[in-house]
Amino acid sequence: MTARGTPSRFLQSVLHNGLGRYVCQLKRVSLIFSKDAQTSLGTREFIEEKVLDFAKANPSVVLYVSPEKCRVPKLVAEYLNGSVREEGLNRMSADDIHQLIQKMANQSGLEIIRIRKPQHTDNPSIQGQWHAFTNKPTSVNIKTFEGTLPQAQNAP
Amino acid sequence: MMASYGRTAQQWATFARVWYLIDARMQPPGKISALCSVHLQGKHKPMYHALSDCGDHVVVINTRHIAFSGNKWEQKVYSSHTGYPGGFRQVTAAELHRRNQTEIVRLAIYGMLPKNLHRRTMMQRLHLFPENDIPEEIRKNLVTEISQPRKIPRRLDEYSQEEIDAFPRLWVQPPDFLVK
Amino acid sequence: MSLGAFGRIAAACLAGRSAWPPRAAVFLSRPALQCMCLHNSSQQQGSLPKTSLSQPPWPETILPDPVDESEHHKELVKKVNDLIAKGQFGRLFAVVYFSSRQWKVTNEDLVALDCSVEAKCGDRIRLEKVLLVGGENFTLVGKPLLGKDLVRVEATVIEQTESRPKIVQKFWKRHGYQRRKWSVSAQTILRINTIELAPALS
Repeated sequence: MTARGTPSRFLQSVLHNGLGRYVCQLKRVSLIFSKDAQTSLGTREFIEEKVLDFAKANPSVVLYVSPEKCRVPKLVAEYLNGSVREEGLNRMSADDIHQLIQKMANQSGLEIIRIRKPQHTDNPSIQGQWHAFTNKPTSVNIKTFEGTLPQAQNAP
Repeated sequence: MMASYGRTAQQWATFARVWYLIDARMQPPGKISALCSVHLQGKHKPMYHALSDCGDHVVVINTRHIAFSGNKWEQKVYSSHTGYPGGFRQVTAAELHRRNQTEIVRLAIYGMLPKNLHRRTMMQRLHLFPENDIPEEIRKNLVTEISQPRKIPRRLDEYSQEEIDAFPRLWVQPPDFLVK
Repeated sequence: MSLGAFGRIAAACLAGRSAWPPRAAVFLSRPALQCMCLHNSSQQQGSLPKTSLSQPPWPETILPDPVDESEHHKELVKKVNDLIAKGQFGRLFAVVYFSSRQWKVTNEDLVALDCSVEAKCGDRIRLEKVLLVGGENFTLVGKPLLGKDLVRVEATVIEQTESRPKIVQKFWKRHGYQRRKWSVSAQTILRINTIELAPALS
């Protein structure tokens, strides 16, 4: 599909993040897995070995670990702006899951679609916007076009 | 400048149209037209964008006194078709210039503008005059003059006799020189 | 033009006295040129009318006096340093070089880079390659970069994410050839926090 046909947005941040201090936008993560299914092997390994380290490193993220009867383990991430993202963890290894959850913690929860401009500013001009008379001499105000146009005869 | 004031009033100055004057006396029509097409499109502005209608007005005077180089007056052919059978018309530049003294410049500029729906609008902002007397309502809009692309050479009769005598000569013809 | 005239001299010599060897013609023409130069310089002492040859066709460049120039520079630097020390520059903007691109940034700007940065989310980084800093009344232009003690631009990494999947598709008609490649690249979003100026202009 052409780039113009895809949905797009402008570059933005949630609640002016980073202006004062940085706030991790990921708020809640649920790991849903099965206790005995083969597909949840990597998830179980991740929960045994790495989930505590992740929780300690990110104290602002609430982490639920819920064993349920399911074929496909999944990870449900909820962000500060209310968006919810689900990722299937089918047959993923513990390292892969660790990378995935780390990536989701680094994201802001805004839609991943085409960004129209790589920059956003609230103050596009500091020294004043350009107009037709910037850096022009003031003599253009009283220009009489001598030599090119016939001069009007001034009545005495 | 500040977001809270709103930038509307400043944008009026940014997008204001400026009227330019250009003197076509003894100038090649193509060079004149290249300058005009740039200014009609607004490409000389730092905030140019193809979708924002930011072209300026251009007034071209003395189109009667344009100067073609080479044998273009006789050899350059302007072709058109009336649409009827056998309606193919071809006129030389000299003949076209005799019929309409602004047409050569107009056609050159028309061909240099982008071929889109804005072309007719931009052509409406072009004002062509065969001589240098222009209406007062156009004249009072003029702001700046675009400098001519070519320097007009001085004819020999425009030099004073003193200057002609002072011109260094590489070789003075001897009185007994035989011209073959 | 002078070359053409020179050729005409040789040609005239050849045409007028065909018995002359051509080498002699060329040799003879040299004193004639010298004579012309002498003649010209003698006329310059008097009042010479202006012709197209009396001066070069390009406009004469007048260079400023170096002593005046250095004094003017000193005054200007002092004035700008005073402005910086008093903090009378309003909002600043800077042109920084980052990720092989130049960005014109001011405080509270967002910048999206198409690469991953060796910093964690929430880290404050300093953008060191500053090409230009401008206030409301002055602009400092680096040659090519501004000194690190003069200006300090800081930013926070607020997001390290991935771009949308971009599709590269190839198709040859009538050949049964189709390839479709999905690619996702890293993306980093920076928030510009501060642009600080120190009165260390020299």
